[in-house]
Order: sequence, then C-alpha cells, then structure tokens
Amino acid sequence: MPNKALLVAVAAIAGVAATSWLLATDNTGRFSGHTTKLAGEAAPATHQADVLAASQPQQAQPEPPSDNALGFMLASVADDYRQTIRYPEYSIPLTPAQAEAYQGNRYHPVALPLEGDGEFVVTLDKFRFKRGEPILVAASLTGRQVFGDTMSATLESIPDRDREDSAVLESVEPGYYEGTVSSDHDPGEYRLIVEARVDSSAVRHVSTLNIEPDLGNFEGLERPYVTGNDLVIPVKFDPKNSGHYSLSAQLYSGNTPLALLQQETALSSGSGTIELRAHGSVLAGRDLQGSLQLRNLQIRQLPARPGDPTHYAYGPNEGYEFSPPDLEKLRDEPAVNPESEQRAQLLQQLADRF
Amino acid sequence: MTIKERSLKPSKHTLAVALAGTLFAGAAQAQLAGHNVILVHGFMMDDLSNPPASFSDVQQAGADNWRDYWLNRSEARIDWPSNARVEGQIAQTAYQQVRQISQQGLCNNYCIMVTHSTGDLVTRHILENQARWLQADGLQPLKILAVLDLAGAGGGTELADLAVSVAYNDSWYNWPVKQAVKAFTGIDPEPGNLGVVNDLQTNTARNLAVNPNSIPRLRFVGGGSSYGGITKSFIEGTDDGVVPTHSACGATSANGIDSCSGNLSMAGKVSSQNGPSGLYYNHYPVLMSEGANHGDVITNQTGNMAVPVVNNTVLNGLQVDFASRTYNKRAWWQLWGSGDQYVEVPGSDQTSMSNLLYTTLNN
Repeated sequence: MPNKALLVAVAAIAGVAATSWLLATDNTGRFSGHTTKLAGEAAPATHQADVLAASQPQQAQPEPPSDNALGFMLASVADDYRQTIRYPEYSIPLTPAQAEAYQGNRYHPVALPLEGDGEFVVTLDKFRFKRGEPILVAASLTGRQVFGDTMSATLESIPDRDREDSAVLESVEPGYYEGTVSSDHDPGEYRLIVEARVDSSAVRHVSTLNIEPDLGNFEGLERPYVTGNDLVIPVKFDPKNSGHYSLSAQLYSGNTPLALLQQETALSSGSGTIELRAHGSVLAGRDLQGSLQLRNLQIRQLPARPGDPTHYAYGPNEGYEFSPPDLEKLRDEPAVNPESEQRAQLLQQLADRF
Repeated sequence: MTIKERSLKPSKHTLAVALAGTLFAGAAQAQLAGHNVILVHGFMMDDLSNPPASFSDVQQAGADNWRDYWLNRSEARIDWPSNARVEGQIAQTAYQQVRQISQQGLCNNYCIMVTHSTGDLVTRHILENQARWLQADGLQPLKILAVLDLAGAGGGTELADLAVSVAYNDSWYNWPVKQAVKAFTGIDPEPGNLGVVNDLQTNTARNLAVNPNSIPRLRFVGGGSSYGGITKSFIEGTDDGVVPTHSACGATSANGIDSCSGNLSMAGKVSSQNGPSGLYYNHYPVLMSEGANHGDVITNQTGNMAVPVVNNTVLNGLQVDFASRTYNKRAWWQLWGSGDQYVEVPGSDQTSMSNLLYTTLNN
C-alpha cells in the first residue's frame, strides 16, 4: 500500500509538471508554430506578391524599415505593388484562390436563419444565366422545426414584380429539395423566391439572379502565335451588336492556372476576333508540357454610358485546348506600363519617408 | 529573424504623430502625401426612408457623412443616392462629378481616393468605366494613385441578403433578423424600397465589376459593434457590425473569416486564425482594429488599437525585422512564461484610424 501511495503521488506531481510545462508560453516547442510562421514563412492567406516573389531575383540589401508600423505596411504595399506591375494588366499571374475567384459567374450559397439554430439555404450553380438555360435550384432546411414535403420556387422580375415562372422543388432526401425554373424570359435582374413550410407557416428565401441577353457566339480560336514578348491567342467571337467588349479567360497548363488574360476592344456586329495575350513574364522559364487550355471565358459588353447595364456571356464549359507555338523566345522580363510604373514610384516615394 | 519585443510605453515618435494629427485637425490640407483626395461615401440609410429630392440633397448628405474627419481634408467628393442602383442612377450621378474632376484637372498629378463601405463597390464600377466614358466625352481619364478603402463593402454583406428576404416575409418571421435588418436599413424592407442594398447582396456585389486592374486598393478593417451588437450574429465570420471581414479585407470568397491574416487576430494576437484563402488582385489589407466599428473608421473616434496586417516579414525580397510594438500578455492560467504575443501600432488607441492614416501619409 505505501508503494501504491508513492506511485500515485509521483504520478500526480508528474501530471502537474507536464500540464504546467504545456501551458507555459516559453514552451515554444509545442505552441510556437504561429510565431515562427509570422517571423518568416508566407501566411496561409495567399497574397499575390508571395507567389510573384518566387520568380524574382533577390535585390540588394534593403534599408531597414523605420520604427513606424503603418510606414512599414506602406513600404510593404509599395514592394508588393512593384512586383505586380512587372506583369501587364492584360496578363496577370493567378494564385489558385484567385483563379477560383476570377472564374466569374459564381454563386455563393445564401443562408437565411430560422428560429433556433435552423437554416434555410438556397444554392444555384451560377449567378447569371443565358436566356433559355434551366435554372437548377437546390435548397436545404435544417433545424428542429417540422418541414413540409415540398417547396415552391418563383421567378419575379425587378422592378415590375411580374411572376415569370414557378416550379415545385421536390425533396430528394430529408431536408434537401431540388427543382428547375425556366430562364426563357426577357434579360434583366430577377428575384428567386423559394417558399418552404416551416412549422406549418410559409417562410420565403429570396435572392437575386440575372438573365443575360444573347451577346453572340464564341467560334473557337485562331492559330496562336508569338509576337514580341507575348503569346497571342486570337479568340473568335461573333457579336450580335456593335459595342465595347471586354474578354477575359484563364490560361491553364493541366491543372495549373498560369494567368488571367483580359482584353478590351470595340467590335462591330457580325464577326470579330479578340486577341488575348499571355506575356513572357507568366510563361518564360516554366516547364510547360503539351497543350495549353483557355478556360472560364467571359465576355462583357461594357456600358456605353453611365447608367447602362453591363451584359455578360460565357464561353464553352470545356474551354479551348490548343498546342502552343514554340515559346522559347519568350523572356521573363518586366512589362512596360508607364502609368503603373509612375504609380509604383509614387508609392515608393511615400514609403521611403519612413 | 523574430519579432522585436518592445516596451509597452508609446514611443516619442508615436506621440508626435498623434499630436500632429490633433494640430492638423484645425488646419487640415486637402491632400494626402501631396496628392488630391477624393471621397466616396457609403450607404446612407436615410435615403431609403426619405429619398433625396435633388442632387443638392445628395451633396449635403455626402458632406455631412464626412464632416467629422475627412471633409476638410479632401479636394473633391463623389456623392451618390443610396435609394438607387450602382449600374443605374448611382453611376449617372457619380459620373457627373467624375467629369467635373476631370475638367478641373484635379487628378492630373494622381489622386488618392478614400472610400467608406459601399463607396468601395461604387468606386470599383467607376474605375472600371471612367476612362472609356471620359474619353468618349473628349476628357482626360482620372489618374488614380491608390484607393484607401475604409470598411470596404465591395464583397457585400449578409445583412443585405437578409434584407431582401425580410422584404418578402410576413411580420411574424424571425424577430431578431427583422430587427437587425431594420437597424441596418432604417426601414421596414419592402421589395421595391431597397435601393443600393440590392447591390450589397453578397452574390450581386461579387459579380459586379470584379475584373482586376492596376490600381492598388489599401484596406482598413474594423471589428467593433454597431447598433448595440444586434447585427453581429447574422454576418459571416467577424465583422464591424455592418460589413463582414471577408469583404473589408478583399477576400476572394464570401466564406466567413475572422481576420485579414492567417496568423494575427484582429486584436493583434499572434495566433493561428481563420484568415482569407486568397485576396483579390492588388488588394492589400493594411490595418485592422478589433474595437473600431463600421462608422468609427471614418470619424474621430479614439480608443481602438490598430493592428498592422503583417502576413510575413519579407520586404524587397529579404526578411527584415518588423518595426512595431509587440508585447506579451500572460493569461491567468499560464503559470510562467512570457504569455501571448501581440502586435499593434504603438499609441494607435490615442488617435482615430482615419487620423492615424492621414497623419502617417502626411508625415
């Protein structure tokens, strides 16, 4: 028995000591992951400069920043900005998170809280619909309330509040409902009203979507070629109407996003070609095997005058695949953009004062 | 290289900055770092209940909005009515002022735009189109050095999502949600009276004029309470009572986040955080302040510590020592050791976030 008591006492002392050691913040071996990260590694929030810096040659020893935290941040912004402007506005590199964000036409599920911890969530697969394509509506209900077996979905025009279409959403599994509403209505902004029965009362979840006019047709790519320090990818688009258009697309190699390409141009109705350009700064020195892909094509008819709406259309879901020409001549050199350069200089002057 | 540890005492430099700010308040200049300042205000709830009858009403509300701090520190404003839509009357009203700014040559030497809240979204639409519209009118496009977004709502707010649903629900529906929406909009929402709140829905905002451009957006983010805190539980992640942190930081997704940094809380505590998975191109979170609410960021409100959004300590490609006050605070349960580590702008609670920004840039 005395031995047992001794063992219990030793175990208790060891436990207290171990707990104290764990709780002490001098125990950097257990808890210092975050501090070492702050001191050197890139943060989880992927800032473009973190990605861009990888391809930068290291510069001369910098001046140490002054004892001014906001000044330090401004110097940091100036430094980051200096790195971004080596890429022209028409060809910018993308982090994976930016590639997802700049796909365009994304719809984030919209939640409506119910009494208690419940939620009424509606999800669409996109925000803008080409006239005529089905609007698939998915809804879910969670919580302790009693829910009905079906829901209804109604499409209402803005601002007239005309009920353009309605459908029943069937339960596909407990708490989950699906159905389809037609988008074959005049282009414009609409409210999607999804009505559920919650504890025998109607609850309406309302969100917004857009039906876009037919802007024209994507007709594929012409043969890409290299000129100067750009890979030029001509995209054929036949617009219905003349106007000022902006085309953007993401250049991929396999599953790796290389760049967001964008170009603004005036097009006449009938037929047109918009030349996207991938600058050498996003392509040179990369191990690119085989074909490249142009994905997430989005064309916008820009408002001719203030107050006009922007109209959107999208390329084929599968994008376009092409065999690039010889890219050996492309160089990883900074782009020349006098306005961005001037902006960078002014930001640097601002930062230099600290 | 590790973070320097400094004393709790504000430095002489900090006190000098704060004092300079106080003096400037009496004799302010309408420039930041030698560049003219253009202000773009946020959502004005009064416009929903009492729509402005004329442009002079819109201008008067715009001036009143900035009067506490920025009004006499700006060269021009772009005022707009909140009972309208961004791609509609708001763009038309804003453009008339953009024209005047161009005609007066106020941005020939690069302007700095200062936006608050929905002004972020309005500015994005204007910047995307102003060059083409002005050139069509035979005018010079505005040259913009940078945009300082205070509590930027460019990513929308869940309160706007709720407002649209509340407009269609009977009076019994979820009383706390209705109260939060009423606090935010100042009205009992109806389908036709929401104005720019429609554009502030998270999906609408994040599908409006989002293409990247070369103008840097510097983000300043609050985390305090507005309206007695009744809105907070309905906004994803942390927020300033109106705008979620995912929006104010410039995060690429509307998923709720708690900080603009993955390793620094809004209070400055060095710790793993639910930060953004990515930021929009050319968006740079600069300062956070856990105590500053949505309105505090543009007023003289003091007492809120500001935190620099330090993601790493690499500058010019090399790791450098970070110059800021850091200190360690030991919790009651920590038996020994130096405690949690915090990073903050020294003395920033002695001044407002706007004054800190203004005086630093005019240093």
